[in-house]
Amino acid sequence: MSSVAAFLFIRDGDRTLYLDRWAMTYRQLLWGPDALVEWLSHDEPFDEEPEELSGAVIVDFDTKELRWSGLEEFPAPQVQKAYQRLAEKAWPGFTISSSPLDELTAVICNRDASGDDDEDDDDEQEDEDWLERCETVKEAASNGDSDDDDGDDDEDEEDDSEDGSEFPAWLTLIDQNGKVRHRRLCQISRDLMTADTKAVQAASKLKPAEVPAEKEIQEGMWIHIPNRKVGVWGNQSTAKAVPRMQKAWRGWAVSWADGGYVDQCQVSGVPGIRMTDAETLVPFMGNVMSIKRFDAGLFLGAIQTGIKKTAMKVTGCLLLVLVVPFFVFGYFADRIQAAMLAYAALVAVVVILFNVIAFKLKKRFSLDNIGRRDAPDKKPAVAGPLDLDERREQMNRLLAACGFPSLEELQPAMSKVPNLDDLSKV
Amino acid sequence: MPDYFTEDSDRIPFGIRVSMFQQHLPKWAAVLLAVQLTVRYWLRGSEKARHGTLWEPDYQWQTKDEMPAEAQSRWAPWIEELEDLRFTVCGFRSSKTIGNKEEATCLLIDPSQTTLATLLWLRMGGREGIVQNTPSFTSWGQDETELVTMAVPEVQHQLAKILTPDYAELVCVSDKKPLKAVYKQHLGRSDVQGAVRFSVERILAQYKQLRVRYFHYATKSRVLRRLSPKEVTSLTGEP
Repeated sequence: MSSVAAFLFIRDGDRTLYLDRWAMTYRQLLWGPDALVEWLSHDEPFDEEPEELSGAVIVDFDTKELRWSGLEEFPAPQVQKAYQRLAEKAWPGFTISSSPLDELTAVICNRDASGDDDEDDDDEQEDEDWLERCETVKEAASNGDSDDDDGDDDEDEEDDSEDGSEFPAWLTLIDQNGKVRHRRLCQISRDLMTADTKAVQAASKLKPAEVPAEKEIQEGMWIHIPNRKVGVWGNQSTAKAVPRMQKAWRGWAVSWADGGYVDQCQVSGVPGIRMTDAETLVPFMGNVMSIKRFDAGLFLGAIQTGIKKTAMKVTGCLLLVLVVPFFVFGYFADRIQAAMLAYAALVAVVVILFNVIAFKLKKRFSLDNIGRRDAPDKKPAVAGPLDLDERREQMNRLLAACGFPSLEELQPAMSKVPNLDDLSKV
Repeated sequence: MPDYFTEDSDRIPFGIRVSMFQQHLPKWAAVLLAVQLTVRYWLRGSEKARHGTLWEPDYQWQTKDEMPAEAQSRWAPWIEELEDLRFTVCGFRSSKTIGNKEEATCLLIDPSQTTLATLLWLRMGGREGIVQNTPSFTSWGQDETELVTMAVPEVQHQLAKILTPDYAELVCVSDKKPLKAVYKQHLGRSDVQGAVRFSVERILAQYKQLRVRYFHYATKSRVLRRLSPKEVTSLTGEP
């Protein structure tokens, strides 16, 4: 049930590997190199080749490089940029980059990192990412948003508003007359990326969309027909598609937009709705600040408590409903007092039975009984200070150094995003 | 001190108030809230204003870039659809408001120059507050009757009709109806046949006159009331 993360340190040419059973690599990095080393030093190094990994961090102290996987948990590019800024401040002098997990795994497992094999692996991964992408604009638009532009307006057509989270790709088309059209898709489709003219026509016939807010968007593309320019931005999967796009859009200038959402707004002539600093930080900050260990116990406890709460609600509703027949019977039999006493006895029996059953079930499905109790971890739950005040102070210094709001200013927004601390309270 | 006005919500009938609150609350909560406001009005008089709009009879039209970012974002699909129908953008205006309200308007004229499309963007309660976008089409009869077709949520249809002045004929349609269909329905109205034609320049002047006419009607019938100096100070924080 665990998801293992590997941490490889390279120092003076020597490699030291540690494993953490419950990978949430992003929680550990913002406290700096010393905190990370200190945290992992509580465990013995791992000598064997690790099996399936869910996360990886490679710190090369010789070349001052930190490569890691885990940023893909936050697909919004602006959130990734905010995290990157904090990480760069926490690791002064280090080059920090996000890499695919399989690349890092190859390094950790000391597989051949040069030559054809690696290139073949890259190509294979790229093909996988490419093939996972929607093939057509129609598929990417889904929910039947195509306009039937034959002059027959369906006046009774229901205007199904898209849920912004289902369509996190933003497409802008600028036609020969300079008219700007915005569209929302679940992804930039392959046919758009490969300059299929039918795709552009299909996109222009889709339902017009509002200019989305930055927080809703993970990737974007614009096609400026008069200037023969294509811009694209997004996450790692989008970036991998750029060379393919440049080959396909012959005679056009295809470029990666470093400014992302801001660049697309500029091209479209709209200010857009930018993410606030709080919105870029809140997705990960709650879990970074938490000192709870994310493990099977926490997870199982949360499930059990959730089930218990639901069962209590159902039982409570049933008991409320049952009072009616007791009362009616007592009223017509002219023995209300006896009926109410009987009802009270029923409630008492149900409450006792409920607690006995809950206790037995909890014991039955405890980690010990289902044989999934992990050996206790020697090291603390997380890197960084475990004293909450000290932890907050250090993070506030880091936030201030990056020009971000303090934790106190982030608190109202953070309270709306569930994190590990909430899981432990459930 | 400048004159700010706000809606006199105490004049809204109880049933309409409940249906308005029901847009955002369950029915039982909407009824409770409406009862609470009604009782408070009986006991204490008018509800304290939460926002106000500056009355400017002779305002300047603005550019699109001066409009709130969210208004520009929300209008984008409508402007695209209307321009595809050969509407022309005439002007933009962002109302000067105080308190928790923001308001902006975009005007477009159709190719026959008999119909004005008004896109009204309204936000109450800050960045994460409630937003409403209301498109409407307006034409003028030869007798100066205002002929309006408005797309609003169905729970607001009754309220919209109550607030309609007697010199206007309002038809409400569902806000779920596509904009093209609303326009088509407006053109299909018998009273819109033979509507007055305007040039782009005249339509802006005509729109201003309309606002003055509506303002006088609304203040006379107490749909709008003037904010007291104390209310203005409380909302602006300025002495």
